[in-house]
Amino acid sequence: MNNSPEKQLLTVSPSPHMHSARTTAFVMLDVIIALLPLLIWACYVFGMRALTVTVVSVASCVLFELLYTLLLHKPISVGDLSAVVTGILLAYNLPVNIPLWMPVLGSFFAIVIVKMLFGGIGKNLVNPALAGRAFLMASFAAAMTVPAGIPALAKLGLFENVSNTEILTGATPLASVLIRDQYAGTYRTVLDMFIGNEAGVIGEVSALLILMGFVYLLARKVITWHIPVAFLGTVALLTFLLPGSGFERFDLVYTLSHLCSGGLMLGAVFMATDYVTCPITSKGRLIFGAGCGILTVIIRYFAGTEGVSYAILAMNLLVYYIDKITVPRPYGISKKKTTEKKLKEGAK
Amino acid sequence: MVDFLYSIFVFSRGEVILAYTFKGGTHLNEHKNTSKCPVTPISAPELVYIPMSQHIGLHCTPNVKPQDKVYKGQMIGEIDKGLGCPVHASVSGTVREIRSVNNAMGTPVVIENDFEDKISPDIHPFEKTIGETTPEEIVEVVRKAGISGMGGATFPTYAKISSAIGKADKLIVNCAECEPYITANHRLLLEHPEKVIGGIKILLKAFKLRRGIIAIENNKMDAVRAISKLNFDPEMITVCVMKTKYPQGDERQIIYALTGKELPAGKLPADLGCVIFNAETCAAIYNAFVTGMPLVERIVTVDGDCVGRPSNLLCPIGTPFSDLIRFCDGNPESVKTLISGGPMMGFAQWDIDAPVVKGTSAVLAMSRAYERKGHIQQSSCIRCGKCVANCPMHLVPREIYRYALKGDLENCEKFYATSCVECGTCSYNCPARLELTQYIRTAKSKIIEEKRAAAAKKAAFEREQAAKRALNEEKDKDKNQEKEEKTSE
Repeated sequence: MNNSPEKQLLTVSPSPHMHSARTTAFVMLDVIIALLPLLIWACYVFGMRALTVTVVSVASCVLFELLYTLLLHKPISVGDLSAVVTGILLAYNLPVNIPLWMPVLGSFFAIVIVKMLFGGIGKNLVNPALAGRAFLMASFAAAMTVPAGIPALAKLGLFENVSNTEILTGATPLASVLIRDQYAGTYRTVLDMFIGNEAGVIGEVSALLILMGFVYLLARKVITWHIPVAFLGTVALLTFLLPGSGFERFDLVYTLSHLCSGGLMLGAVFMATDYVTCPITSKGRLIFGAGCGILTVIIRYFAGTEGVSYAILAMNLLVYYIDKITVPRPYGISKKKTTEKKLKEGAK
Repeated sequence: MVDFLYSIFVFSRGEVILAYTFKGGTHLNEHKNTSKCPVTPISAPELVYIPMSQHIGLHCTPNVKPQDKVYKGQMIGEIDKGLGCPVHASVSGTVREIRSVNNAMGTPVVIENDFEDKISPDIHPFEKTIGETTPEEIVEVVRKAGISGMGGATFPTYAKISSAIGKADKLIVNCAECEPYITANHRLLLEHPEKVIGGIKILLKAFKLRRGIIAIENNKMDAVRAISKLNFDPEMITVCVMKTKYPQGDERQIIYALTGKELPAGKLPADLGCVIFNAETCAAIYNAFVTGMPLVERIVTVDGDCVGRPSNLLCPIGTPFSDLIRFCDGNPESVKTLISGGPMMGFAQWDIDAPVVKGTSAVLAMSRAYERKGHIQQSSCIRCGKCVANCPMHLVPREIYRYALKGDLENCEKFYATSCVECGTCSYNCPARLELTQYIRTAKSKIIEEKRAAAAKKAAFEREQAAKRALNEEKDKDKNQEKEEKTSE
């Protein structure tokens, strides 16, 4: 206890003096691991070109983020791997026969416009990958349309390509669910959709593998169950009780076709659960998931097209308000007191 | 008696147990390296430093002078009025100096050990049997023994007992020990469960209660078995197993787990009829009655990567940390961070010679390598929601942190910054490594300070107004009198 000057003083810091080893990069790595089986499946169904599209998309996402931080002298942030996740998710939303400059353009929109210009990781308002997809969809609808014949026709090599016009057009599984005349849902077709033996964009086809990724993310405590369960549950409930016009009520096959077709599974498990653009409280996440579900069904019924990505984008914009109304009641503070406080504030 | 249970089934080493728990919290890496290390008494060093403030409340005034001879167990610092515990010499010897060192622990009395271990003649076992004691006598013995909460909060135990007498209908002994590394309570229950039980019996007598609860986490099932082997009335003591989760040892969470009630903000457990004691505090109460020896030694877990042989030591109060590290084959020179208490809520010390006090449950000596490993660049919040999901007080730490960064105290308060218990769970889990706890702590103390200042200002203003009014009234009176005098003229 001498205060002699030569005595070495120790480092002091505020508690806690211990941290979990889970950093942002670790979390993102877990998401990447959960996403990888989908890529392998896509390579099997669509051919190796799926890999090319994904690599181009990831590389351009990382490159755009790196260039942005270098040019504007910001701290370099690509190490957190979030750009890699964005790249993979963007690629998973594209058809396999897309021209390769399109993922690059989509990456530019996703990373530079949607993410970095809003302040980088944690600050973007909407999911960058989904915004990138919506941008491409709005600009190049024809190239973004999924040709139904793809899995049957072409196992595309690494740099092989085939244009939409060369492929027989027909109804994708989702379209057949949406249009009464083409609907021929049986347990057999549902099983095909569930396993992923169908046409679709690169990452959305196999519901089974997506659900396995969901279980992995839950086990690793990366995401909570709230959003996917609320999202899928709402869609299931609505399609079971209130099917689209011309379909019969209480048709389980119809409900399952809705759940397994299109981007619903991919959106519910990997897109809607994006930390940055979903609410932070569990109650808020339930509301968010249910909202996504309702909007998806409305768009599917009345626009006759896939609505998952637009539903999520729309709900992304409401997150601020959902967070505001779902502040949890703290321990030891009675509900009465909090409402009184709110009333008082209102009076002010 | 346990009326509502927030409990779940947990699997623990092949058994399925119904365990009590709470909402929120997180399971930490336990690092209980010392759970197999028996408590080893260490001999007192040549010099012990006994701080005069080892508890919440006022500082003690030393009643010894340099060169005085003191005995082990002799009172060397006392408090005349107000909240506080007396302080006793932990060795016999000569008072060398009473220095006012600007130390976090207050002024220490330095005693030179004569290694004779002469025990003060005042020390004798309590004369009466438990059946004949009155609650007042129990409070007095506990006060004289200088016992304060040994879990780390160091609230004077006699004050806790006397304020809860008549209110308490549930006695809970906290043996959760939810902080990583620490195993002091665990070893105490394994080796001397009878002391804890004895202490509980005395406390039950003080509160005139029939039954006490020992609350223990399910990573200490061997201790549960050690207790149940003892011969005691099962009607008197219930052992409640709780799920291993941080911060289960916080009294609010224990109350919730065992009673289902939430402790309202700003209230004491006694207001809910609960009174909670640390297991080692119970053992100290037992010692004070059976041997008469006041609180002069305690069990300290010594661990960390600078310590060669992690151990549990029974050491005299006032032993410098550097001696403990040397005793455990550690090199004090290599220590970079020294934590008194657990890694989640403990205090980093700047002085390697800081002494063991009544609230020191562990000493963790960490090297620079540990620090480097833990040091990762802060990044932005990615809104993962882990701080919200794991907050035992159900706050939104991220929002409070954001407002605290801006200095916006009003919004911090709106998000209940003052309810924070500073357990550190949010900072522990944050993948962006934000110092959430520290910012919330700062905001909380600022809010409390501002409120206090505002209250003081208001009181001063009112006093001034009252004085003015009184003055005016007097003037009026004078005028009236003058008028009256004039009219009478």
